[in-house]
Amino acid sequence: MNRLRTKKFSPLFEPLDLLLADIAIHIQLSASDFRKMEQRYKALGDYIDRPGSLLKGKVQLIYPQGSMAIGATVASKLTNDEHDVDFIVQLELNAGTTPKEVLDLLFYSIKGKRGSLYFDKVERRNRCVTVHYADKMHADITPMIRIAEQPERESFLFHNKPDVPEEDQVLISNPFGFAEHFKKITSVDKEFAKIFAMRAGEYERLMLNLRADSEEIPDQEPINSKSKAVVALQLIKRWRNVLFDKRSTRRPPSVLISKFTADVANQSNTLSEELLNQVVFMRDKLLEYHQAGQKIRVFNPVCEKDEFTDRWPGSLHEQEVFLNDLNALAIDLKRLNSGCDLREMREIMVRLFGEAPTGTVFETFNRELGKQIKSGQSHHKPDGGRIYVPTSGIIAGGISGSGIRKTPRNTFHGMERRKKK
Amino acid sequence: MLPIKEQIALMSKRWPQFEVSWPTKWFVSWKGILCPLNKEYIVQVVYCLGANLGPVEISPKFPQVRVLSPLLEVRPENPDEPIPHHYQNLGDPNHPVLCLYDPRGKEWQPGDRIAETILPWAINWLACYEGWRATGRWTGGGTH
Repeated sequence: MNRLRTKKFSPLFEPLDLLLADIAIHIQLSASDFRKMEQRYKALGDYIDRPGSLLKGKVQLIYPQGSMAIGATVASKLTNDEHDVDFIVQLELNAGTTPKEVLDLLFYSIKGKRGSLYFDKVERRNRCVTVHYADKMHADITPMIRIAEQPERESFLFHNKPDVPEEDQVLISNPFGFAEHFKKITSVDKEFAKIFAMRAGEYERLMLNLRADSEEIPDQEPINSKSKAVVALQLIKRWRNVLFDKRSTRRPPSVLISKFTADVANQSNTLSEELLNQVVFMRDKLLEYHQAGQKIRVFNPVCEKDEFTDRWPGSLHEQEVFLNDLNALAIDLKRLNSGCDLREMREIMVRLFGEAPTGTVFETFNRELGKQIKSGQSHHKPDGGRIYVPTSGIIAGGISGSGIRKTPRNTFHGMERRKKK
Repeated sequence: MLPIKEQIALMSKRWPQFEVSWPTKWFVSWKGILCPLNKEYIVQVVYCLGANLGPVEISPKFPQVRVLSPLLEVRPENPDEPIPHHYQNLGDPNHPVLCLYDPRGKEWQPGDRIAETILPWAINWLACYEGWRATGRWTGGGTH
């Protein structure tokens, strides 16, 4: 059956786009948590540079990288919605400092003496130091040393696995440059950004009301003013996290997915189209290499020595597995776009994004829809026989001249709900 | 009371995708597509003003809406729970009549316009039906 096509007048008019947007809002760092992490990384920078620290006087800069830098945060853990955010600490150290020394210096600077602020909250990793906060967030702080006379913030990055010193590496990287490139290329579609930011505020308020939380949420947070490409990226990262949650293999890095996103950003009319475009593009890029019998290699467009694929895929087999994953995702996304009902949409989205956010989003959607109908506040569009989905921030600007009409109040009636004998 | 001719004219103007059939002075039927959220439904609206045809008297019936396709379904998680807010159609059990208004509350009267009431209510019903199938909760309210 062909779907009736209606002219859309809001980027989130279609229920599918609204549900996808709500899932992205649900899984990202909330506006207040984002502000909290901003305060935390500044506090960490001051702490690393404190009197008595091993790195006193050596901290040149601390800044967000990765998802926080481009506004594409997603919960990294499925079971408790834990978020991890990434920071770079740019240090002034001698050229000959070894990877082990750089990472140990940072680790012990943050750890400090027994009883100090982060003593039992810090973990030494191969390329960064992780600080675990009590509220389900953790920060990965990567030490880097700026390379003089190179483009802005191009730096040395250090790899050291204490058990395997022979694998020590000094790499060249420019995450700041990539983030700036990403933001420039995925420039904001103002209409979508405005509607998404309004919806994010509205959704966060709905969630707070459910928790009887008294925190005030501003109507629009600048961090929620984002393009379709960034929201699609968040959804793809979430899907990847769900997929790899039970697998022991390394997952494709977020920076690689971000690079693909930037390459084909915002060439669509709706969020669901954008998501499908991005997945198909990524799949086709991977397929090109795979059909040539090669592992994909992707580099930072602003730093040719900064390879995004140095640790993944580990083998052609790993690459093939992900290729199949992307194919399956594309099939599911096409199905979502082909006129399935809410029940089937929920089943597909649970599979893609996990039960927790999907269940909440669908329950919320159904509840708000019912509230509108019960209170006589629902609207419809005769062209296509559509219900106008309730998002209060959008209604105000969206109805006039659009063919949307108010539905008179009614009371559904009918047989008693008796169990069949 | 609004004559059938006027109901047809209003439906044609507001819902051109609905095809009229069997129009007489006292009976009309429409068939068309509604797509409340993402999925399309073929629905039929039947309205009878009633008529005295000599030996046969046809009693009036308020507008009735049936979903012709796809068939309405119960939730597999709880197959004993009937679909909310419908009237059984003994002549055609696969196509129950949607219960869109409370007749006791006189929410629909023969002077009302089908185009402005019955069809929008059918859209709401279908949206609530989809929400119920997806979550187990009918949130659009109603009475029995």
